[in-house]
Amino acid sequence: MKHYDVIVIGMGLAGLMAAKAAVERGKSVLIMGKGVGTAHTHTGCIDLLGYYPAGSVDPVHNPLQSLIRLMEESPNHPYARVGEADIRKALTSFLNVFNGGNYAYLSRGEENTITITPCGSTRPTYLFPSTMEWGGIEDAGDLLIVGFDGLKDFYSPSIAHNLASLREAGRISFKVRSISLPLSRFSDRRMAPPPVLGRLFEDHGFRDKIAQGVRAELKGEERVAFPAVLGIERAHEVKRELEARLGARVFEIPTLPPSVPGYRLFQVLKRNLQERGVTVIMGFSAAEATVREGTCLQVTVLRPPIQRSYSADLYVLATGRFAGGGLAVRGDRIVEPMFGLPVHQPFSREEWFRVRFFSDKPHPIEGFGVMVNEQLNPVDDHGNVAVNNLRVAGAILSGCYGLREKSGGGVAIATGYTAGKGEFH
Amino acid sequence: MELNTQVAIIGGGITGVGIARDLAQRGIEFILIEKGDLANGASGRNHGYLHSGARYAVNDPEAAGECIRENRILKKIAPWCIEDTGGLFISLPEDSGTFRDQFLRCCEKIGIPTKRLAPSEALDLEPNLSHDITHAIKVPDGAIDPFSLVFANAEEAGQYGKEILTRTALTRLIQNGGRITGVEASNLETGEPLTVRADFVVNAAGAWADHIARLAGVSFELELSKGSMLVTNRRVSTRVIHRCRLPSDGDIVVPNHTVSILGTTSVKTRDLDGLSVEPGEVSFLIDQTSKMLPCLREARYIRAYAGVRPLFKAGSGQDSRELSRGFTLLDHGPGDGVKNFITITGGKLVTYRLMAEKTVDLLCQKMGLDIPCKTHLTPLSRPKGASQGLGEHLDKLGREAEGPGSEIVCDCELITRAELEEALRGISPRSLREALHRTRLAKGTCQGAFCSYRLLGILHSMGQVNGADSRTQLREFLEERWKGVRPVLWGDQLREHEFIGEIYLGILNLDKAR
Repeated sequence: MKHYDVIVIGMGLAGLMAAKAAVERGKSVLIMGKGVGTAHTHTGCIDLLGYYPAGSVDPVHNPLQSLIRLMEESPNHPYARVGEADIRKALTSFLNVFNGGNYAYLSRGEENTITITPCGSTRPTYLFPSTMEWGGIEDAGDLLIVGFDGLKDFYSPSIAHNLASLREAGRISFKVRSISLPLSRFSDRRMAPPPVLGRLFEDHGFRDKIAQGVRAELKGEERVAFPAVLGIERAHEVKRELEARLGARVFEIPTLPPSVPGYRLFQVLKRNLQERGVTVIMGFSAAEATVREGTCLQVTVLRPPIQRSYSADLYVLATGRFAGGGLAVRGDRIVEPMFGLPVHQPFSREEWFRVRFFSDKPHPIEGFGVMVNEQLNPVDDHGNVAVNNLRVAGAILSGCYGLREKSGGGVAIATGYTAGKGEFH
Repeated sequence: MELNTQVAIIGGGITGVGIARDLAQRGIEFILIEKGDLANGASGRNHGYLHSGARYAVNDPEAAGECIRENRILKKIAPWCIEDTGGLFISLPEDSGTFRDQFLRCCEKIGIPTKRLAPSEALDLEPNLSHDITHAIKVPDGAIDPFSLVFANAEEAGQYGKEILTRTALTRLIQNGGRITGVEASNLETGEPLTVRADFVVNAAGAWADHIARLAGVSFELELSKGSMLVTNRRVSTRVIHRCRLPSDGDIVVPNHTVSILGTTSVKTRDLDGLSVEPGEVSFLIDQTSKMLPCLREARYIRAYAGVRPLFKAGSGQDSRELSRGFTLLDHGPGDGVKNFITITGGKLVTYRLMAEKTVDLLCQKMGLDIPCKTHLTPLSRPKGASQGLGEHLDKLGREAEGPGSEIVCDCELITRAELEEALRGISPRSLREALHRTRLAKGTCQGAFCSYRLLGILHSMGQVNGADSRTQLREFLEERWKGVRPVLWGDQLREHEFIGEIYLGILNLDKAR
C-alpha cells in the first residue's frame, strides 16, 4: 500500500487548495476526485462575501471588513474557524498560482465588484479573471453585448434590456446595446455549447471572422462584452487580440453551465499541482475509508476490476455537498457517506425547505453539513473529534450559506488551504 | 363594459369549455368567465387517466357505463390527445378472489371488454410488475392529456377575450324577480368591471360550485377531497396499472408522455387554494404503488401535485370515495326558486362531453329549441402548440432538424424553439403559466434547470416581456415549479435541486438582484 503525507479527497476548489498548501510545505500529496467539482457550475469568479447577513439584499462593499463582523457574530461559520489571518494567507496563496501567467485573478482593491449576470441582473464578487476586467457596472464606457444565435444559454438582448432599465434607474452610467450573431456565418456549426465555442475561439480564422463581424456592428462603443467562451487555454491572448482588432475593451460575461472560466480555473490549479509533483487520480467510482478507533487507516479507490488502497498521515475531505456526493440522503436522514461523519441537521425532513423557493431566508438544508473544530477536524454535537487524522473543507461544512452569502469560493479557498497546510492559529 | 348573451358559463375547466363547445355547435351564444387560467382546478390536476369504467364497475355501475361509452367517443373524436395504452388490473396474494370474480361479472354486464392474463403473460407485457402477482385482467384504459383537451374545446368554442374571458372573477349574480338575468364580474388584470346580461347562467365552477351557488342564495353541499399525485422521471409501465380491489388510495399508476403518475390519496379538505402535498402522502403513495411495481421504491420522483375532487353530497355520513363519480345536474328553478340558473357538478374528465350534452339539452328545452347534440360526432381539432405523442414528436423533430427555430429549448422533453414560440404567441404575460401548460417545457427530469432561463430569453426576443418584468417572470415561474418539487426532494432529485440553486441563486443571483 502506497503511503503519502497527505491524501486529499475531492477535486473542487477546496481540495485543490488543500493539496497546494500541503505540497508547498514539502509534503507528499495524493489528490483523488470523481470529477471537476463544481468548476462547471460557477461563474469562474471567486466570491468572498457578497451579502451579510445571508438574507440581506444589499451587497457587501468591503468583504474583508464584513468578514470580521461575521466571525464575531457566527462563531460556527467556517470563516470563523479559520480566522482572518489564514483567510488572507489563503487568498494570497490562491493568487500566487497565477503569478507569471497572463491569465490572472484580479480584484478592485479590497472591495467587491458588481458584475453582470447572464440574465442582466447584477451580482457582487471579489476576485475575477483578467478576461472579466472592465466588466463591472461601476466601470465606464458604452457597451455592446455580443451573443450568438446558436449559444442557447446566453441571450444578449435580454441582458442589454435589463441593463438599460438599470440605466433608467440611475444605477449605471453607460449606454448598452446588443447584437446576436448567427454562428453559422462564422463556422460550419449552427449550435455550440460553451466549451465548444471556447475551442472555436482558439482558432485564429474563427476569431478573425468574429472580429470582422463585430467591428462592422460597432457604433462607437468603448467596451464589448462576449459570453465567457473566449478560449480555453489561451483566453488572455484571445481577449487581447479581440481588443486590438475592435479598438475597444473586451470582457466576458458568465454563461450558464458548463462554465468555461470555471474549467480554466480547474485546469490551472490542477496543472500547478502536477508540476509540483502531486499525484492526481481522477474519475474513481467510489472511495471507502477504513477507520479504527477514531483514526483513518486507509482509503480505498474502487475502479473495477482494480481496487487500490492508500494510506496517509493526514486526510482532507473536500467532497462537496449533494451534487458532488459529499452529502447524501439515506431514508429521512442526511449522511456523509464516506466516513460516516456526524452531520448537523434538524430532526425531520419536513424542516429542510421553506414553503417559498425565493424566501428571504435561506432554506435550512443549505446550512446543514459536517461540523468541525478550529483544526477543521470533524466533530459531533458535543465537540468530540470523530476522526483525529481527518480535516474537512469546502461546501460540505455546516454553518455557512454559500449560495446566499456568495461566499462559496472564499470558504473553499480558506478552509481548503488551512486544512492542507497543517498548522493552526 | 356590458355584454349580452344567451348563456353565461361560470368556470373554465373541462366542464365549462365542454358546454361552450356544445353551445357553439348548436348555434347558441355564450360567454364563459374563469377567474384564473383555463384548466386551473381539477381539470389540470389529475392523473391524465382515460377511464374505461372498470375502476367503478363494482361499486358504481352507472358511472362505469358512462365512462366506457365516453371513452369510446373520445378515442374517436380526439385521438390526438389520447394514448391508447390499455390497462391492467392486477391482483396480489392478499387481494380477494371474490372481488375479482365480481369485477369480471360487472365489467361484462356493463360492456367493458376484459381479458384474463396469466401472471407470466402480464410480466411479459410489463416486466416491472411485481413477480408476486397472482392474476391480471386487461381493460381498455388509456392516458389522456387533460390540458390539450381543455384548450381544444375552448378554441373550437370561441375566441379568447371575446367569448372566453379568463382572469375574470364573478362578483355577483344579477337576480330579478326570482330569476337570474346575468352576472357581474371583474377583470383581474385591469380591475375593469364587467356586466354580462344572459338568459341563463350555468354554474360549472367545479370545486367552487357551492360558493357560486351561494351568491344566488342557493345552498348545497360539496364534499371536497384532496388527491395527491407523484410523477416519476420516466415511464415505469406501458399500460395503466391498477390494483384489482375496491378503489382505494395508492392503487393506480398511469403512464403519461415520458413519465408515470402515481395516485392517489383522498384527504378531506376545505382549503381550495393553498393545496400542498405532505411528505407523509409521498411516502404512502410510494409504499402502496411499489407493491404493484417494486421499481417505484427506488424511482426518481420529479414532482408532486394535488387536485381537489368536488363530490356532490346527496346524503350524509358517507365516505367521500363511496359517493357516485357520476355527475349531478341541478335546475335551481323548481328546487330552489331561482329560475334560469343551472349547476352541473361532479363527473369525471372522461365524461365531460356527456355532462355538457345533458346541460345543453336542458338549456335547449328551456329555450324551446330542438337542436340535437353533435359533439360526439364531430372530430375535435388539436389546439395550437399542443404536445404530441412521443413517436409523432420524434418524427417531426427528425424531419425539421435543420429548419429555423429547430434548436432544442428543453433538452429533457425535446421541445424546439419554434414549438415554444407557437405556444407563447400572443399570450399576455400574465397567462404564461397557461401557455406553458400547452407544452411539456420544464416538466422533465431536470425540472427547468436550463429551459427556465431559455424561456426568459425567448419571451424577450418575442417582445412579450419588458425588462423590469422579466426577472419577476422568471422568479414566478421557478416559484410555481417549486410547489411541485419541494415534496419530492431527496436522493437524485436533491442533487438536481442543488444544481438549480447554483444556477438561479449562484450565477444569476435571482434571490437578491432587484
